[in-house]
Amino acid sequence: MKYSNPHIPEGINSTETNPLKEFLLLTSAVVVGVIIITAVIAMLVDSIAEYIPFEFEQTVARQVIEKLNKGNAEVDGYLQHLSDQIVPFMDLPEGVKIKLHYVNDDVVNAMATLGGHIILYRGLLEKLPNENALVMLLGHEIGHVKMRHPVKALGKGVIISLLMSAVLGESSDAVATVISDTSMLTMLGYSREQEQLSDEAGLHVMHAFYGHVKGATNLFEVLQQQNNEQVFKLPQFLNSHPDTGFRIKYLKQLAETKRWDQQGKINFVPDYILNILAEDKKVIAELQEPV
Amino acid sequence: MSNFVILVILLGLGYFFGRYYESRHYKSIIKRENQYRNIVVIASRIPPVSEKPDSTILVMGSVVISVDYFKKFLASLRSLFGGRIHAYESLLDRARREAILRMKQHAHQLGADKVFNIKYETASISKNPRGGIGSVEVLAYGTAFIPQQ
Repeated sequence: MKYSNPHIPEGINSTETNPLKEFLLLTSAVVVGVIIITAVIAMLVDSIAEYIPFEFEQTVARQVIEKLNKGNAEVDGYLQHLSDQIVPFMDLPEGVKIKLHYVNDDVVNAMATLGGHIILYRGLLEKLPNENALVMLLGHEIGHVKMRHPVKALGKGVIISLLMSAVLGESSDAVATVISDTSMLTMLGYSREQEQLSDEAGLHVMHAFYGHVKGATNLFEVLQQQNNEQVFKLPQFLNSHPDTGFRIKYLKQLAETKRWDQQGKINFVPDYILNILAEDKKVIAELQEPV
Repeated sequence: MSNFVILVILLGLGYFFGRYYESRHYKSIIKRENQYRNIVVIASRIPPVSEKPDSTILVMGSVVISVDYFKKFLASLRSLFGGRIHAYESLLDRARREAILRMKQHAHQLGADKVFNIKYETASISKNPRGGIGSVEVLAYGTAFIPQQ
């Protein structure tokens, strides 16, 4: 018997394909798919959120708020009083109540969370040059509550992370990075949109409360200065908030189109509040001093 | 975000080095396949009937090849969509042919002119948790026939 091994042509068991083409096709399919799914979830959650009872938010928030390291009660009272004054202008849905919390911390921030709770940090409060800027800040945060942004963000976050854990269990870390980053960037887009809506609400309440919008941009000038002090700046698309310069420009534009007076009387935060803030700052500074 | 930058770098490294080694490996495989064409490999278990029986001996060749980051990424994208994993097909094709070549080299050193009853074993080693880079081992073995002088 004669045996032989002939020359076998190439390309039968493995086809010469362009891996880059396959890579680009599949990756863009994943990216587009994730954006669409995230957008659909966001839309669904946004439309369902109105039907989530506010009491549910309050129940969820209670445990977190109890653990909050609350600051001076007098500052709390002052903020609550100011908030109660502007709330009637904000047309809140029935049953929605706003509760202010002052926290003695250097963080230059404020936030609205579930159940109508708004947390203001000393770091931001002490930098605000006047009461008008504070009203803008409160209006912005109450705007978040009014539009149910905290519960919407929570809903989106929960559903998307559930979906992620289901999908990502199947794929490698690298693909997981692509999927979760795409979803995160899409969500940040929604977050910036929410911030802009709340800015509008803030400006609106300033006009309703004072009859003019002077001082509205003071809040953002504080944030901008804070931003300038940072060494490393994130590009716009990686940020949860719109660019501060853009926010100032947008508010000025909005005031112009609405023909709201941009000049008017500036009110100041009472001295006794400023004194408490200064005292609190000292206390924290002493605590942080190395022994 | 830093994750993303690292990912792009790893993908780039995987792509360029993976492509380079693959094309180099294929060139070497084709060259050696021609070189060892005189040693015939046959899958049949039944040797030819001969008046002057050959002496027989087990020969084998084994190879371990690692998948690169780019191939791994493509494959796990495929695990979402389904379809042929071209990236792994060429990897396994190289591994099988290299294993046969090493077996033939072994047979050649022993003075054999044919190998009967050849078999493959394929194993994936470093089957580590997700995220790890996998590698594949292919073992080819058979009975080499050494003609009697």
